[in-house]
Amino acid sequence: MRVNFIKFKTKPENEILELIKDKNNIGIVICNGCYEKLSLENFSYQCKEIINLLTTRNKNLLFCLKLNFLCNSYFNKQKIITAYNDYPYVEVVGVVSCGIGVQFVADIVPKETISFTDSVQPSYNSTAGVIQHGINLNNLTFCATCGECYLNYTKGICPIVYCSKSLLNGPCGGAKNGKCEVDKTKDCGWEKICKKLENEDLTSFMNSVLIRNHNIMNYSQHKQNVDNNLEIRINNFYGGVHPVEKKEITEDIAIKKFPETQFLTLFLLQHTGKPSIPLVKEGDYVKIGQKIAKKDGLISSNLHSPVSGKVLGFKEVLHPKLQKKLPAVVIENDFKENITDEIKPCSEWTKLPKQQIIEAISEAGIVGLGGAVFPTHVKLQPPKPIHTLIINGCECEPYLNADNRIMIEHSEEVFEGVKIIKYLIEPKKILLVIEDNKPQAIQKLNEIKPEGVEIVVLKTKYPHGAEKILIKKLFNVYIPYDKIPLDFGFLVQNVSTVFAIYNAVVKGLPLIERIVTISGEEKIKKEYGNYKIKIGTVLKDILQKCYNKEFLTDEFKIKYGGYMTGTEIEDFTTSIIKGCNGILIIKKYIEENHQNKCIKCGRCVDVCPMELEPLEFVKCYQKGSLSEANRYNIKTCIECGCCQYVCSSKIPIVDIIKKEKSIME
Amino acid sequence: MFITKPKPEKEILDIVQPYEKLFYLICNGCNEVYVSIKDALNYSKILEKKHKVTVEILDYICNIDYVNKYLSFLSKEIENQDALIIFSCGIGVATLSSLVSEKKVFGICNTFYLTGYKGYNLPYEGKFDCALCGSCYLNYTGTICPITSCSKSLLNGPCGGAKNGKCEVDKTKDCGWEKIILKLKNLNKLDLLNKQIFI
Repeated sequence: MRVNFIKFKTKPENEILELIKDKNNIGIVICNGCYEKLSLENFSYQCKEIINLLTTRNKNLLFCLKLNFLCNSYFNKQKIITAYNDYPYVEVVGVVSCGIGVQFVADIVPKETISFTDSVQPSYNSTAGVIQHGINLNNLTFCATCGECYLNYTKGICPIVYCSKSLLNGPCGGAKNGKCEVDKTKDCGWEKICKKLENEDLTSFMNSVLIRNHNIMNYSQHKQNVDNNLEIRINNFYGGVHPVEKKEITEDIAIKKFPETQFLTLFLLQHTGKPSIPLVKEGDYVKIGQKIAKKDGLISSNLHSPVSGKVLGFKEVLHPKLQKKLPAVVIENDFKENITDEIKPCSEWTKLPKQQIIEAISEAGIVGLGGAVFPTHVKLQPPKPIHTLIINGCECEPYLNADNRIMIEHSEEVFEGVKIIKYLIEPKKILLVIEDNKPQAIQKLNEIKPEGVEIVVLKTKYPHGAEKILIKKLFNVYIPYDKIPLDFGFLVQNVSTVFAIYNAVVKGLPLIERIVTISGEEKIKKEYGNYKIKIGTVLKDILQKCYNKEFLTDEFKIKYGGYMTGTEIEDFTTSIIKGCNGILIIKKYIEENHQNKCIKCGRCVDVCPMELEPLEFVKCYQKGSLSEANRYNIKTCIECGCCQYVCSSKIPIVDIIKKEKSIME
Repeated sequence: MFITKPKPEKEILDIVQPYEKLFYLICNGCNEVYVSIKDALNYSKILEKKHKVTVEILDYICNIDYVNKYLSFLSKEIENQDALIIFSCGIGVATLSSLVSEKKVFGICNTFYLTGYKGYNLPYEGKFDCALCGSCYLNYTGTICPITSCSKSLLNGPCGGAKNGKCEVDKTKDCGWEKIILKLKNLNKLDLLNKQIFI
């Protein structure tokens, strides 16, 4: 049996006509509904009925606003106000939605608001307010949210939901042939329970008298729940999720050096912009730190050899982030650790001119190590003056601890790096932002923080680490998709990048290694931890060392990068690039599949930090009309993965969005 | 929308007392609601004092299709256990107990209702609610719902009386009908209430 989850039906025709009999200019706000099969049609039948009715009676229909999840006042408010302001002479605004939508519209529209619909319970008949969870539209299980669960005594059949009177004991009129007195087609809930209990020892059940405590849901208790929930949900910014952190797996493991491996694969494109131009050829001997590829133009980056040895040649390897085959240099390590003499430490950088420091950073091939891999020397030469420097130590991704360990073990170096950036761009204000799930790092940083640096501790919530969200949260400044924070006078640098800047300027080291967290499920653990890994180390070697391969079966998937934003990888010949901050192996229970049906639960809308409607992108993809996706601001999407994480139908929304974006380009 | 809160420790320990090996399932579905995984994991520590506990974190246990798949993955582990305990809303418990017939299934949470049917209305949370009563009165009551804003959901009949605009049930709760009268007075539409008797 399929449950009918439609929450509202239109009122009788004569009642509607009576309500609008002396009104001519009418506006309509329609809710697209929730918990139903996503229809590709533009109007549901309720709306068609009403529009037909109004047009046949010669009413002047001024606007007809169709909105997703009308009850989500957060982003629907502005749309309704705009529509209303366009037609200020509207006499009455009719609403097709459940009661919440009607009350919400009435609250923001100063004209008379009327409801065209009666809201109805989803098909189940019970005196209890039954919640429709709707995670599966074919599921007949309900919960009455009574606040006192009896399922442990009744074998998983809820008496509150299935008894028409929600009885636990007391005056029932009696069931006949297993059917309830209220309706001859309704099964008696208690008879079902008794049948299930037949083979059980009933003494404990009989001894425990169930009495419902109605006071458990009293007003003040309820209000407190609502307030707590509200505080947690919009505390930092609209949307966002709280994934299971699992940081404790590698939190206390100090940074170790990953053992040298024999073959390294270095991609020529490890950064945003043009690929680097190779400077070596097959058979050349290279030393550690030797430049093997130079930047091509301004937005590009240098590449250095992380080991000493022979260049074996070039080959096309699957790029882990871009997911296509790209050229890479293969170097065979001779384990002699010959270091090039180009490396010149410089402890007195304050005496150098600014241009020379930027030159050093550019030479060292430093890019944004948080994941965006934008060349750092470009960021440090902003077109506009920078007023605020934000050092991003949020690391909101689950499992990862790379930045956390850097802040604990190398906090002095980080602050020295901050001083270098401060010298270069002279900001008015410097903030170091960190989430409250890293108490060790917070303590360490507070102990030694230099003057002028403010440490901001935020409540943990994903995705704080995204720079646009961070700026929105801290300064309430909204940065559109085609702008970057630099245009607004903000410079955001990741902690790892700051550490790399310190290494480049003070120690003269090019970017040849980075800290990577290697973690995952307990079952396949061999040696998890935070490793200092050479760029170019092949994934196969890492799997060999850190994971117990005999347990590595089909039920696991490898994530390159973080848990939320990482890409799933099946080709182990790919290698560590500059922007890689973690390798994870996690369980997959259910295949993500875009064939699954969206049931309009609205959770993706609820968690999108950019205030978009991800379900519309899926709809556009299924329809094949990309122009429509553009209307829903697909370019604003930061691909944080929140929608995919909560999706109750396990639709790979982010993959679909990425595909749509690439087709558009 | 709803939230879950764990039941008192004693109640759960009494129930699971006869079972040695427990399989502890934590539902992390509806991830956008703050279901505190820390609370859930703390509970496993309490249970570990006297029982052997295997912990597994899943999501959307309410979805019967998913649960079937989870069970096919976990069947070996579950076979060795004496009982299943579940940290989820009532739907999760009911769904699992309908599928796992050979093992005892216990829920350890109470499920509480949150105003606002889907928990939306973020800036307004707790302000609007709909009881899905089937006959909407909003058109006659100044779009303030008497069913959800009156403690007794009264349309007429025996109210104990409001004092200073507050309900007899709780001194911090506003009287819904007083709000309705004031709003209609402002709109100059008090006659709407005289037109018909709501039943």
